[in-house]
Formats: sequence, structure tokens, C-alpha cells
Amino acid sequence: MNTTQARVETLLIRQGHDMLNRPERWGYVALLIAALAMAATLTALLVTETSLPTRTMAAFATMLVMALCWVAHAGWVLTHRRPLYGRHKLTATRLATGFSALYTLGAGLLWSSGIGSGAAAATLLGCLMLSGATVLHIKTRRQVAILEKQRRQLESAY
Amino acid sequence: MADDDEINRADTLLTIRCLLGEADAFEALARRWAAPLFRYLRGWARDTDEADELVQDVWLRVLRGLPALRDPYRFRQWLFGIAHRTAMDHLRKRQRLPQTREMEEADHIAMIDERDASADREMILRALEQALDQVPLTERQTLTLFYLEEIPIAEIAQIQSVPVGTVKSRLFRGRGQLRTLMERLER
Repeated sequence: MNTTQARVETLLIRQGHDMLNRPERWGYVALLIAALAMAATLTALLVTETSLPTRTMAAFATMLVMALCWVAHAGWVLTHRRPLYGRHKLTATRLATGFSALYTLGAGLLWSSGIGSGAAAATLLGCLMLSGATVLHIKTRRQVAILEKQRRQLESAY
Repeated sequence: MADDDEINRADTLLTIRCLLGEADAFEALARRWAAPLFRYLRGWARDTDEADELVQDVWLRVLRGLPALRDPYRFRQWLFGIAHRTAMDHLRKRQRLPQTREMEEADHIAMIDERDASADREMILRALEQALDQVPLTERQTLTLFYLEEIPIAEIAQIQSVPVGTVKSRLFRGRGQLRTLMERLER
């Protein structure tokens, strides 16, 4: 192997290492989930607590916009800058499904026990998030299964 | 032909492992494609540093775009397509050249005779090593893809976003220029 080839290989390997092994990607997954939960809670509050003072409503609305901006930012990073590959995406959608199930369960318990007037709306939003996360998870599982199948076929051809 | 199939299968397997997110597959992918990419992009750059930069730019786009690749069997075409577009962007930025030079002028040139191509292969492989740098850019890239990377003409046409006839005429022109260069070298 000549020195040029070795140098270029090292550069590319380092790039791949930086892309895959740095923890930022998982930080963005956590940010996405947290921002989504925050957005859902604030939406539930805005929809159900109509008797709140205007300034409080304005503050909640501002916080909601901020949460949605964080959702958009984290989503953009995870799709364009530090994308998740098959199994990583599977882990991320598992996390999203688990957390949104937890959120929905909590909101549902509050609703059933009659505590908090916004619990019904929060449960509904939780259900929406859970549905979205589940659909994404199923879609990702299918994609990974196809790749695994192709891999087995190619490996068995050796 | 059996060797080609074997290589294609190994490449596809590597791509699939990357799509699944296996860290060591990315290292193998970099090792597999570093030299072909550098060889292809070297001609677009003024020096080695610029070529390194270009290769890294291409690789960054590859790493970012790979999860969206739907068909792992088309990785090579997709990779060189990215390399071609990145290099064109780079060239436009650097020189503010029009999109094409005289590249379309000879599109009417007759189709390449396959027997002629195979007879010339040996000569061209030798000549490419010595004289490639002196061949104009467009022809050089086409010759590199066809003779060094052994990519079929139809696939090169897709990579370079030009008709098959254009690729053939570029090969025709490039081989002619290489012949002239070889004759000069022999004298």
C-alpha cells in the first residue's frame, strides 16, 4: 500500500469514526424526545387551562414555540447532519415508543383518578405521540429486517 | 466475470453492514473506496491537499446520505455520482467555469467498437499510469471510471448525468489522446 492510499484511508476512517462514535447523536435523540414531551405538555395546558391569565398563556405559548424549534432542530440534525443507521434508528424508535408510552400512562392515570383538568388532553396527545413512535418503530424494524435478509442471502452465497 | 461477481457481492455486503450501523464496516468501507475515490478525484484538484479535501467532502456526503440509500446493490454508482457532483461543485466554485467545456461537441462521434476497446485495454492501462494527468479533465474522469474502476458505460452515464453516447464519445476522444501521448512517450 502506498503512502497516499494509507493517508486517504486514515482520513476517511477518522471521518467515519467521528460520525459514528461521538455521543452527540444520542444527545440529539434525548433532546428530540424531551422537546416532544415538553411540547405535548404545553399544548395540553394551553388547550385545557383556558382560565389562566393572559400573560401565563403567552408564556406557555412562547415555551411551546421554543419546544417546537428544538424538535425541528434535533430532527434536522438526526436526518441531515448526524443520521442514524439501521440499528441505531431501531434503538431510537424503541426509546421514543417507551417514553411516549410512559408519558401516556402517567397522563392516563391522572385522568382516571380525576386529578388535573388537562389530563384528558395530555392523554390524547400522549396517544398521538405513541402512535407516531410505534409507526416509526414498525417501519424501521421492517427496513432492518430487509437488510438482515439481504445480508444472510449474500453471506450464504459464499 | 466470476471475480467481478465476487467483488460486487463483497461490496454490497459491506454496504448493507454499514446501513445496519456496524462500526467496523465503516472502516472497511473507507479502506475499500479510499483509493478509487482519490484516483477519480485527484484529476479535479490542483494538488494533493486539495484532492484530500475533496475526498473528505465526498465521504462526509456519503456518511450523511447513506441511511437514505434504498438499494445497497447500487452503492458504487451512488458513490461515484456523489463524487462527480461534489467535484463539479468544487470546480464551479473554484474557477467559475461554465458547466461544460467543449465536452458536447463530439457527441456525434461513432459508437465505440467493443473489440477495439478490449484490444486497447492493455495499452490504455499502461498509458493511464503515465499520461492520465495530461488528458483533459472530462476524458480523464471517464477513462478512469471505465478502465481503472471497470464501471460499465451505462453506469458512467448515470454517474455523470449524460447520455450513453456522450460517454462513448468521451472514451473515444480520450483513447485517441492517450494514443497520441503514448506515441510521444515512445519517441
